[in-house]
Amino acid sequence: MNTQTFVALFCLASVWVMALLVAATAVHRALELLRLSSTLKENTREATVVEGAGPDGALGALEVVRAGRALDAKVPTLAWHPRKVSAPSYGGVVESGGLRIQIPSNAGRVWVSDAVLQSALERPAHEDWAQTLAQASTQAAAERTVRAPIRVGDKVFVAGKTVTSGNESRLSPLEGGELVVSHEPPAAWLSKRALWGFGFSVLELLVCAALSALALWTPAYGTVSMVGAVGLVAFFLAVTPLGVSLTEAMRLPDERLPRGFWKAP
Amino acid sequence: MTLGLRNSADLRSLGIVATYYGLLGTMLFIPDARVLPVLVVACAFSFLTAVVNHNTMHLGPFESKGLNNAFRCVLSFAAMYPVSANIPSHNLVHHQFDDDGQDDWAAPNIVNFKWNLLNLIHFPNVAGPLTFAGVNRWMAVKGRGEFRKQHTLESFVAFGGTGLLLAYDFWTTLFFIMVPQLWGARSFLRINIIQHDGTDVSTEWNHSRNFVGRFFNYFMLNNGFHTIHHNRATLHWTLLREAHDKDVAPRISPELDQASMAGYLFNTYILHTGRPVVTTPPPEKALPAVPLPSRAERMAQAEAASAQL
Repeated sequence: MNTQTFVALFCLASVWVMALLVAATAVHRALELLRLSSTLKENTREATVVEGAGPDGALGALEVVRAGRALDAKVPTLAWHPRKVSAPSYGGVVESGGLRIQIPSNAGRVWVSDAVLQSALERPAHEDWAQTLAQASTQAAAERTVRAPIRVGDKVFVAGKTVTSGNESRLSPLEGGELVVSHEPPAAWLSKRALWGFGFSVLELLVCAALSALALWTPAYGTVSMVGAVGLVAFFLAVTPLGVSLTEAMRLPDERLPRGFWKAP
Repeated sequence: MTLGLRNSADLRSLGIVATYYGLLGTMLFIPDARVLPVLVVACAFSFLTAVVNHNTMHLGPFESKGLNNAFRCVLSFAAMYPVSANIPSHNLVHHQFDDDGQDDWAAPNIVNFKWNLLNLIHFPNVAGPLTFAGVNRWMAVKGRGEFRKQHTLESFVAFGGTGLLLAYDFWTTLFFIMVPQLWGARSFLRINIIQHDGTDVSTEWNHSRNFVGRFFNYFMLNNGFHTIHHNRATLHWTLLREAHDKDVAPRISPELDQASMAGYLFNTYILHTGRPVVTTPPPEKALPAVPLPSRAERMAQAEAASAQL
């Protein structure tokens, strides 16, 4: 075997190692989400928030402390960076099938929908744009705390163990410690993200296989082989950022790192 | 000063880069030179050139800013990426172990396989894209126009230069130019996990693993002394051993002073499957305080220094 052939096979092996590691990461995460989905599915009930112990009567929220910096852009624009993200449960009461269930504070996960989060992240109508832009142009940046809440009247899905004692019911964590209050059905949300992970893994390995077949097309180092090699280089450079983006998309809703932009009004 | 260098010891740095380019040129133009030993040595020098790149992005070796900028273009082709990216990713984020409240883009915990060898292999696949995205966000901010110009020029040299060579001789460039380019850049990313996995980055002295062998540090331009480099980022590499022996060694866990990187890698990634854990505490004896600026002050210094690069 000559040196070029040895190096060619080494390169092909390196691409496959990378592809398999990216796929393994996605599959591992997908399995974690499926396990959680399976745990929550049988223990979820639909409910409506009737009381909230938090600010403005919220039962829970995604809180984001964010830093805004002015960009060099034709239209004045601020880019937001999440300095700190938390999802506190303030506690409250939900009603489900006529049953009032106490939701504990400082316990469990709070999952706010994308729509509610996006609405909270938008530039408020009362915002002093000029002042905010000026702050965002400084080294310290403009800092804001945003709260995307689960409010009274919201339809939610609560996952946990409902413990009834006398006339009172409260939501307790399941055996594995999970307790979730969510705008969207948690099991379905988790299963969908898990499917993304499995689908991505299968697709990227199929693409890698197809490009490898082209690269190994005879005659060796011919035109088809070159097309395959170019494809594999592009694949090598593209799959890793796609894998990282997928990992970000598979974060649980209370672990999101919301960014975003404000443009001049 | 020789060749306009701030410190004549950087002749060694220039020698490393010249040797690397010599090996690439030899393989590109002389078919008989396209043999495994030459390729392996080229990959090794690509890694050492990445070390020169790291030093350069902290403190340019030349007195002249123009020469330093030109040298950055040379280093960018060497690693096939615009090396100015090191300023936000390494100098400003990694050195503080913090991205303004979020994780360092090259934190060891970005990979999490149970078999730790896979973490070492996979690390650049995650750190690379995180760094790329972070650099793009950073450089879009107002007031960073000069940085963007230099970054664009370096990208043109790195990618455009490689593209031209691919058009000239596709297979030779793919196997004997791009393999060393990618090897050096990805191996240098891996150094992050080797130097910090299992350490406590919240401490002032026990945040990094050091490799103190003399032969190793001759070629690595003293980059084995990582703790003192984090704490005094603009200290010239020739001064790192003395500063390490005086300030760092008495204050750190003995496990963070490794005699040999090869020995550490074999022990950590071949003989063991789990993540490294530092179990020996630092020495308890009271030592005189070392005047060390706070992390916030060091961040401000790094930002000021980066604006001058």
